Amino acid sequence: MSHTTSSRRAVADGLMELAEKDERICFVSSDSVAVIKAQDFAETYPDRTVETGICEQAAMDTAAGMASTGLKPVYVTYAVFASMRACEQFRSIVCYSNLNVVVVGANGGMGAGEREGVSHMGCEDVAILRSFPNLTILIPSDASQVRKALVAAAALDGPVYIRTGSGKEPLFHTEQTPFEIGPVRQISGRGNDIALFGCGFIMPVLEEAGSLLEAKGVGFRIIEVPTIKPLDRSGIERILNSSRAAVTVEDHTVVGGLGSAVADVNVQSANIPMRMVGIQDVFPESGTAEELYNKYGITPENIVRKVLDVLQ
Amino acid sequence: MNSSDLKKTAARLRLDVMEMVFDVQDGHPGPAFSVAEIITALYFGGIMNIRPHDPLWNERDRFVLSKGHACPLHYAALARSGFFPTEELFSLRKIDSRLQGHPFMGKTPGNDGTTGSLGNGLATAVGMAKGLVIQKKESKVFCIIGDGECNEGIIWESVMAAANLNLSNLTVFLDNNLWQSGGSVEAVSGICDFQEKFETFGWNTLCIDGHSFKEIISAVQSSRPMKDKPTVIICSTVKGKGLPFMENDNSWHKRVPTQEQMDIAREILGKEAV
Repeated sequence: MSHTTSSRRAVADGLMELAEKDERICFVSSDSVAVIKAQDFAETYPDRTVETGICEQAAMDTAAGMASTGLKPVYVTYAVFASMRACEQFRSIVCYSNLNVVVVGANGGMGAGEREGVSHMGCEDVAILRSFPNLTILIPSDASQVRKALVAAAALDGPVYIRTGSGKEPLFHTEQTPFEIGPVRQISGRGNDIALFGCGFIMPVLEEAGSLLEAKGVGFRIIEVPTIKPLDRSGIERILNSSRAAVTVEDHTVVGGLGSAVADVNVQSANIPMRMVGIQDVFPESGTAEELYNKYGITPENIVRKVLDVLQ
Repeated sequence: MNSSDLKKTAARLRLDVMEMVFDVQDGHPGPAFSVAEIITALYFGGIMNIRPHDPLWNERDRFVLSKGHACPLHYAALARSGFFPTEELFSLRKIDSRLQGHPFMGKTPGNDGTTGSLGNGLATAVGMAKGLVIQKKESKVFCIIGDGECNEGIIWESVMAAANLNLSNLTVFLDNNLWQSGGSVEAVSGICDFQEKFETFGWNTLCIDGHSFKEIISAVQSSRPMKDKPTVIICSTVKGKGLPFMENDNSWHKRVPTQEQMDIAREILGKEAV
């Protein structure tokens, strides 16, 4: 398999990889074939491509019904539609029944939605879906990780949500880096002044912030949280217990996302000072990803500001 | 079962519903009664290919009660078919029960669909039907929807999808009892002309008396040769059918009988059931 550079194309590649080995793998589309460039899959496996038309609610239930017959459907739509338009179907049919449905949400975050605007930005998907029992939520950080996350998700029993992006995200890990459901992982850093927690395609922003902190002599560790649910509570607790303070960074509302998840662990364990970088309970707007991150504070400079603030 | 035995069974299931609702002091008897003959025909009329001793048998036909609030009657049918003991019917809506207030496939043996949130059962049935086609299985999928339930947008999403997916293994019974929770279907939502609507979407449509075993069984048989089209059997029914004090009285959508009403129900349905 060649190195996938688009997080959307990665879903199609992952589907092809899975389908070759497992005839139970199916692709459910609510007119989503073009979204992930899955034309190859649809042509290679026409009998395992189920097109419902643009009806996300029926598509979510259709995937549930297919799973109940023993298939492993992967339903792809935008994050905002998976978590909101089809929210109740996701909760009351897929998750409540604990069915083997993998849901892939594209355009997760404002950077992924960029010029499309708020209607197509999944800024609250994680907050909503974190509250559903039985659900596993994966937030891979580049295209290669998306493909591996999909393969890992298909092997899991129970429903899985994978947050993905616009397809323009930079590569963060190497092609050899595995994706493991569950544990947090330390990406870089030395020292215990600050723990920087992040997830998804904005991980490079944390790395840049780390360089700035290093120049200032601030000890830091960058921790990636690829599985937001079930949360690696003990791994996070261990890092919090050995840090003076923590900052979380996410392309998602700070209401209910990664920041809230880490804070939940923090208040029940280390109880160290914390700050959250992310969308501050506002609706973003159209723009390039870079312009949006600059305007809404997902920048290395803003992370450093928050770090210095919380360490005072 | 012959027609006479089916009638007795339907009365037995209706009486089970009354006993269950009376015992737990909660539930929807009216909407359950309008589908009594349909469910009786499915489970006791030789329509569904199932194995009560092996509820998850891979080759089974599936049934989804999309109008999930009618589930006490389905639970009674499952128990009387042998999926679980009839004594368990009295656990309906109680703590630690396998018989939830609305259908949950994760707990009830023989129940293939999690429903209760209206409209979702049909969409799930569409997925089941497609899943069986993909796996080249001969199993069929049966689903009951309500006419009030057809207010839901997801019903029409599913109707569109099922036709486009050519799901000839899907048969839907539309319980056309003319009532929904808040009043008549006509007054609350104005939805009508179901046959025309389904035909326009490309479905095979049949209209029958939903309380006639002969018509129900014959409609299912006649729909079987249909190629590439899902079938809807629009069933003219009476909400609360079977007890004169309940028939077409929409207060019985969700209502608990008094002791006196229970005595009448036991008298009428008890006689019919033997």
